[in-house]
Amino acid sequence: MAEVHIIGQLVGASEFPEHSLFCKWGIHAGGAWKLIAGLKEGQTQVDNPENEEFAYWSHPIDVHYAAKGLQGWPRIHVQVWRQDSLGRSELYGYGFVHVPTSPGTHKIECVTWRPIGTMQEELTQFFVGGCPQLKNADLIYSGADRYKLRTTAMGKVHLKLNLIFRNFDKYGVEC
Amino acid sequence: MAEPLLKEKLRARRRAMNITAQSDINNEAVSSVDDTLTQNLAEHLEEVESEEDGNRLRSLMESRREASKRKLDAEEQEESQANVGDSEEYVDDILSTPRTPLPSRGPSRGPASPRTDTESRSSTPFGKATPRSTLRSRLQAKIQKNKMTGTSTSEEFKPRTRRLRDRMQLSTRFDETVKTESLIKETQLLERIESKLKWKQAAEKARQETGQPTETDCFDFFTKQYEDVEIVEPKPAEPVEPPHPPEEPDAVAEEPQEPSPDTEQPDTIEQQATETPPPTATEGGQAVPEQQKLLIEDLVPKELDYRLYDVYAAEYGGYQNQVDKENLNYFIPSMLPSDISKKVEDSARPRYLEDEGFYVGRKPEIGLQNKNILENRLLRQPDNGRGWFGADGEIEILPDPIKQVATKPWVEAVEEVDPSIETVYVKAYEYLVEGKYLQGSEENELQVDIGTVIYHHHALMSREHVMASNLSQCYDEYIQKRHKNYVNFYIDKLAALRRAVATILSSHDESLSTEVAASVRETRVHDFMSEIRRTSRQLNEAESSERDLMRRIIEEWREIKAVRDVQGFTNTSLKLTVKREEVNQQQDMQRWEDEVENQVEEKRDEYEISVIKPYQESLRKYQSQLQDWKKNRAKIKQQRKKLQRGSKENLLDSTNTETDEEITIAENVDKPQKPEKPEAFDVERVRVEIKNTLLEHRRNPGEPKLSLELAHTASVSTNATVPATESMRRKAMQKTSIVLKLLLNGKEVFQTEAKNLTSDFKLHFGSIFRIRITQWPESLKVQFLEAGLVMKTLLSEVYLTVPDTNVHSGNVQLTACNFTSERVEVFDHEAVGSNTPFKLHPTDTAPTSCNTRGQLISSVSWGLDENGKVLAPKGLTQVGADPLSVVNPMKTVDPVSAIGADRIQDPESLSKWVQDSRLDPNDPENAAFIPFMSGDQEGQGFLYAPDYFRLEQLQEEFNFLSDEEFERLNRLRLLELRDKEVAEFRNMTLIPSQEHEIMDSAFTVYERRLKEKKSLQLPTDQRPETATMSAHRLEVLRYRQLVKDAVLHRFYTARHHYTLQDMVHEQQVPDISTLGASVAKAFEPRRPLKPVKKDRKKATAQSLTQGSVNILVNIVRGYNLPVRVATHATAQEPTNTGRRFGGVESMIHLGSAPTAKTFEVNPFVAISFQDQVITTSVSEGRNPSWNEELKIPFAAPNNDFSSGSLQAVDDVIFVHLFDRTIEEASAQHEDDDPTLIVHRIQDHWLGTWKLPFSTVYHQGKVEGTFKLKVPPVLLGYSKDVQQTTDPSGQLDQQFAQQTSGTFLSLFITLDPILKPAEAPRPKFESQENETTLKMCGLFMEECTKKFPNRNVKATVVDLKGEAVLITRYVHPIQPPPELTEGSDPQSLSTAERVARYVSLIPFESDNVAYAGICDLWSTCDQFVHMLSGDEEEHAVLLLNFFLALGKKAYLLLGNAVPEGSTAYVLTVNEATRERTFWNASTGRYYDHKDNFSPLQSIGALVNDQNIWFNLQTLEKPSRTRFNLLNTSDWKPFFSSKFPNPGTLPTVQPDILHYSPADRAFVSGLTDQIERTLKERIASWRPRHVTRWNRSSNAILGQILRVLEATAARRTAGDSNQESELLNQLGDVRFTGFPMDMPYISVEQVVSAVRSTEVHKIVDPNVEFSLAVYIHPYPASVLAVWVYVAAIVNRRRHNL
Repeated sequence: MAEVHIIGQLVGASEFPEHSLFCKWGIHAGGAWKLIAGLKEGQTQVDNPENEEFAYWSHPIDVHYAAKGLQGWPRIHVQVWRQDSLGRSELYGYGFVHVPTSPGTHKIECVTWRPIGTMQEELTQFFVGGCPQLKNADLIYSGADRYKLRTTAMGKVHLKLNLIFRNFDKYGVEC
Repeated sequence: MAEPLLKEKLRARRRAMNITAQSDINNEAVSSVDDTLTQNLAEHLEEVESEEDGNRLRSLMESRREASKRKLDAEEQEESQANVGDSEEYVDDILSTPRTPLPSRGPSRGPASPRTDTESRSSTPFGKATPRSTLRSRLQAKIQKNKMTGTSTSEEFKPRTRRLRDRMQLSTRFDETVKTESLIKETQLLERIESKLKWKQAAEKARQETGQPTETDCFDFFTKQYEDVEIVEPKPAEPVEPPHPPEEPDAVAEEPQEPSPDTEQPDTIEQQATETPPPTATEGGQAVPEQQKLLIEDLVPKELDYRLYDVYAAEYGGYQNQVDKENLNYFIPSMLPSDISKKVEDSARPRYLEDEGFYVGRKPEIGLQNKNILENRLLRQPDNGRGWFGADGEIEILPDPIKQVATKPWVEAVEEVDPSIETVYVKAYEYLVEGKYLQGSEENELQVDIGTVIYHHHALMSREHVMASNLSQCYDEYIQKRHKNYVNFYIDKLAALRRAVATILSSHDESLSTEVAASVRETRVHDFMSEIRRTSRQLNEAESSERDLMRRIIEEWREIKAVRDVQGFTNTSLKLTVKREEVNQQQDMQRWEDEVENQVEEKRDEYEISVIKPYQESLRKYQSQLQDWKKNRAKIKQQRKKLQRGSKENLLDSTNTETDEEITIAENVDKPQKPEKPEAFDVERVRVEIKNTLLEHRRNPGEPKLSLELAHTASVSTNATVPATESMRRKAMQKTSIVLKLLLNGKEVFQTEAKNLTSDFKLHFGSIFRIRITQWPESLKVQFLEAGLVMKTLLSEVYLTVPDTNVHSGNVQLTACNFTSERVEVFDHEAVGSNTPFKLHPTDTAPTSCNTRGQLISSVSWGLDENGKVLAPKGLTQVGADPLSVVNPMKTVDPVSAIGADRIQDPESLSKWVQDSRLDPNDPENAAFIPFMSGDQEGQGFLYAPDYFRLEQLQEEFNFLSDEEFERLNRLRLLELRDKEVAEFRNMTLIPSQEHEIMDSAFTVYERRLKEKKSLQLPTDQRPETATMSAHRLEVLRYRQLVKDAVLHRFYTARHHYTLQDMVHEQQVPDISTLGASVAKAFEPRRPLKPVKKDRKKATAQSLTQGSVNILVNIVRGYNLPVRVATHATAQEPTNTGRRFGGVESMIHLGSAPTAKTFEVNPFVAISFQDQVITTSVSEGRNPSWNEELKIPFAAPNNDFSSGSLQAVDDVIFVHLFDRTIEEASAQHEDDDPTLIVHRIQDHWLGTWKLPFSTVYHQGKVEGTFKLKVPPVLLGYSKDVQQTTDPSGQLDQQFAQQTSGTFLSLFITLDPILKPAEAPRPKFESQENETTLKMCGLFMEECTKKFPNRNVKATVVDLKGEAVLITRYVHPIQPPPELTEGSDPQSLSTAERVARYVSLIPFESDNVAYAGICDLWSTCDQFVHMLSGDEEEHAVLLLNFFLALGKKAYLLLGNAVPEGSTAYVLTVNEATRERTFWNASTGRYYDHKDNFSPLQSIGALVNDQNIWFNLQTLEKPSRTRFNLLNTSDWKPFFSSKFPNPGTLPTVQPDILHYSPADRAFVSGLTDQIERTLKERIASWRPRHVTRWNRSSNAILGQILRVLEATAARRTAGDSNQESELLNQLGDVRFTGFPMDMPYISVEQVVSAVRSTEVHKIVDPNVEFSLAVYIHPYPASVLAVWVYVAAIVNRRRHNL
């Protein structure tokens, strides 16, 4: 049984238009993957940097997967949210990255996007906050058609992952 | 540099500079200056070179170049655009203004210098051939080259200069003014210029002669070079370059050009030349532009006050000019359609694809004008817009589908957006951890319809009303029955069944009479017959119940009439009419007779089938058997004869031997019994029977059919005609109005208007309220408020259920829910009141009492919006569980919701509609219905999923290994289980990394537990072993498992709920007080006179390892131990032996001088814990003193010392008291040395005291004097007090008299102290109202502030994890009748029996049961059902029993040893002022004056009305005053400030159902225990023979029976029965004792027996005797008695 141990952290987010961000994250893996230990989803605290353009979360990720096949290599999907001064949260971006397929330390940048709504929604968003959200959050990482979706680019989420692979060579997979 | 734009700008700039330079040149003799400069530079260069070998220079030059470049770039960016034109103008300006450059110096020096220059120049390049000093040589080469090739630079330059010169001639109108102003000066200047020019020309001539470059050429050289270097730099090689080493000379050569702007002005140079070394890098950078500016200023001599600028008027070119120019430059595309032929490629004919039948999509709308403009513009492109136009000559607007790279024009959605990418606008919302709030909340609407309130009883009802309400309730029932019409239904059914039977029977002959058919028919007939019987029985029941009901209604009606007559007026409008339907007497009779006959026939048939048939069958069998038998007989006879003949061959013949056997077998077969003939069918008797039942149950023949009708037609008497009391009642009724209040989640949302009571006690509200909710509707409560004149009083409350999401206002139905109120209301007028006794009829002897009760007819549903959409919250699951699924309805997406038909109630009807409506499947609009249509084709609805669903194709094929292999991987399994925190693996560390290092045994415990759990879930009959478990007990176990799982889960999640303090550790900033304290510490005395006790440090879990924790037990001394008695001596004196066995009291009271010779004891104490036993030394006497400290190592489960696992430790510390006897043993062999004396050491168990480890763990230490549990009969020992004369003995005696029992003083603690876990304090949900909860909080706060150590609780947590007010647990419950019958319920013996019963329910600490988290209070029914609980459950049950027995009792919360905070029951005997504390879990009781009672402090008393907290300073029970009315001693919870609302119903059931004892099971269990014990005892003595003395077993068993009968009774008289029984054993030495315990499991019994260590007796002559007796109590409570004895028969062994 091949094993993948993902140890790392959600370092933070940069280049978002506003501060005070937090992130909901999750790891999605295919049916051949079995979670052995660790939490595969979570939510970070809100970081509101005063003098820097980088929200630090340093949220630990420690997941142990066992794989009986390669399909559905795990991917990390994130939702960045912003908490405004009234304590309300609004969506700020979706994004996902595949977990790298080579062992070792990886610094990963996950670019994010968010949907654009209609004119009225954009206006509303400008004045009172809120954001159009995907009705189906699976779309973040699923291969479904989304060419009709209007989106705009948001910032980046930085991840630092240390990967340990085990026994892949037994099954003829070189990592 | 690479950017072309920049290059362009640079070029422009340079051009501008050239021009300025040239203009200067034109004006002055710049060349000379240039030459000077170059010379200077060259000189300088040479100097530098000679000095520093050029390196420094190079770097210098390079840095300068860099800097200037940079500067240049920056400047260019600023002014680039305008520069070309500007500079020209600038030049113009300069030129047009008559300049007077250097009037005196210019001419004098200018010509001089060039000469020198030329000379030097001419000499250097050729004289010096060094590669480095190439400036001049290169200059020349360049110029020559220029001359030869006539490069473009010079070419370009010329026209410009020309132009400038031309312009010089031009004049503007402003020139005039300037001229007039400084005409004189100008003329002077002109003169100078003229002279200069002359010089220049002369110099030129000379130069031409010498071949020297002109100044223009020089300048050209510079600028050209400049351009070349900067712009053409990337070009591979400069053609001018001499073949020098490539880089270096280049750099050197290029450098001088850089500062060229500097050198343009001779003055500057002149001034600076002497002093200026090449400027440093930074200076050089700045120097360029600055000096450029200086240039102009310096141009003008200071003495000439010359202005550098002039003012011009704005130029105007004229409009037409402008237009013309624009026309020249601009292109304005036409709006007219362009020529199609231009757009279509070569083949001049456009193709129209649509006409050719191709699919052409609809193009987006674009304005025609715009399109034309675009087309025309495209056509003007150099390639004529190739590629932009399609075959039809139209511009391509839609994307090419087969294009490789996708471009994404936004197309406004024409059709609907794919639901999977739909976005939904979500407002910014506050994120709440509780997840209490709904999302998108504004669209959720609850509709509450409050319909009618019907009172079945109300305090203001008159007697007539009460009856009328009874009547109408009966009538409702009647109507309901009538409506269902059971009678007719059964009659019809019966008829149909009979017909069916008849048809079957009639078709008998016709049908094929095969065997199979016959049997089938038979079974069918049989079935029908049994069905008929059942139906007929049901009919009987239905009819008789209906008749009963009618009878009751009529009776009620009669009573009402009687009451009306008596009181002389009517209060209700009820009127009953009885309708009578006459029937045809004869016909009816006939029918009845038929029915009777029918039934008789059926009986007969039944008889045939059930009696005769089996008889015949058996008869037939009998006959055939008889035949066989006879045959056999004959055979046997024959055989015998043969055998007698004794032929040898026959004997040898094998067949014969076989027959021989047969014979013997056959002989053994008895002659078959003839079956008895059954009784004949007695028709008459059956008929009579049937007639009787019919008469009894059914309408009698000829009796008219009755039907009742209740009408509200009677007139109610007017107020004037009624007596005063009645009119008072009516007035009170009019004053009373009812208001209903609806509370959502405990918050009032609305109130109905007040409705007055009407005479029929029905209130119609009929109001519908819509509630828009933002929170999850957790509870909906309706409060009934009675509005009096002044204030509203709460009558009762009723909870409405929150509906499912599919219940909406369109489909909801009104439902009735009952409410009651326990409020006591008494009136002095006619009204009967509520919850008070009244007499319904004047003749009634016993008064009745009714609570106010009634029905609320209401409905709750979700609202519908105008589109008919249900306004229910999406997904009634709690949000927040999954952070990513906050908005994730796709998880529930199905085809139905995809079509937008949200929440279709009936998908089946939808699919039917789809099929019926024949939708076109090709129509894309119907795409959503495809699943419904395809379902039709397969003949099944879409509801049925297809046989397969491919989620991950080819997954299996690519898998590394199969699932089975996956499952077998132990390491991963181990990791996974550890991650899930499964108990067995929770704290595992260091799981091996290799698969083979993990043993399979790692899972055995876990798997066994799983198996047990699984077997619990199996139905009873499939259970593997049921010998030790009755069905009820299994049920109990299953129930307990369920509860445990649920509770564990709840607390597990609570434990993972962290607060900020858990996550963020902020060190406290030291303030002045802490600093002061630390300073003061320095001055503390080192050895204080009065040392303060310091708390021992508590060890943290991390620092502990196996073996580092010990339990310290300090055994101080014992009191009042039993004393050995020589058994054999007393055995002959039966009169005295009684003392030995009797209860303790009897001993003391008897007090007679013992005749028997008593021995002292040699006691020692053994502590056993976790399979380790440690003993003290042996002491002596009745009151021994040990003063020994014992240390027992403590092993934590899984080596985990975290508080979580320590709490779950359920090990018990046993403190056993033994007596060590040393006996002379007979020598093993007679021939041994007779002088040898062999001693045998034997330990005799005297008593035990148990202490759960959890108590030590939670309390840190346990200290005190404890009473040992001593068996009631201790053979060979006496608890008799010796009459001694010495003073210490007398003291002992006093002590013993007071206390009676054996005591042990000890102190137990842990070393080091382990940190007990803090109980999680999750906020419990509660059904209590908020004020009560608040008051509870306040009360607790006040109490703990005053006496923090006293045990008090206002709310407790029930099994559901909800906080419940403690008083609700107190409610009288009848104890099992077996315990109370036949005795005075008030008597002490009854109480003792009840207490014994309660104590027999096994004890299990909540901390252990629920992995040590908190104290849960189960209600009595849960407790009895689970058969386990700790102190408070026992106490509550006992209290409730006592209350039911009529005692005055309270629940006492306090602290006791050893259990710590506990619950006792306090009973108060008012007459004798005796107060008794009952420890419900042991069944013992103590007087309040008893100083040795284990109860140490009293915290609070609780009954069903109130809680009293003990405010007295002394908390010892013996020193407490019990006047609860004294508020300075006792603080009540419900006080005058906060009175008991009286509407707090109990959580306890009214009646407990006790399942009767299962005798068969008990006897089986007795056997099993006995068998197990015998096996075990034998196995514990592997080296000795274990003999069982069977004769004594029976006697011991009898003793046990007697003991059980008297066990509970301490007050009961002594009985000598035991001793008498023992006497029957004869002369024996006897060691043994009876033990009793509640039954938990066989293993528990075994371990209890083992702990007595009877089996350790090694006397070779010993015989064991064992008796087990189980006394079954109701509800599966079992008292197990075990009598283990070791007997040595003295006579037999000659002792």
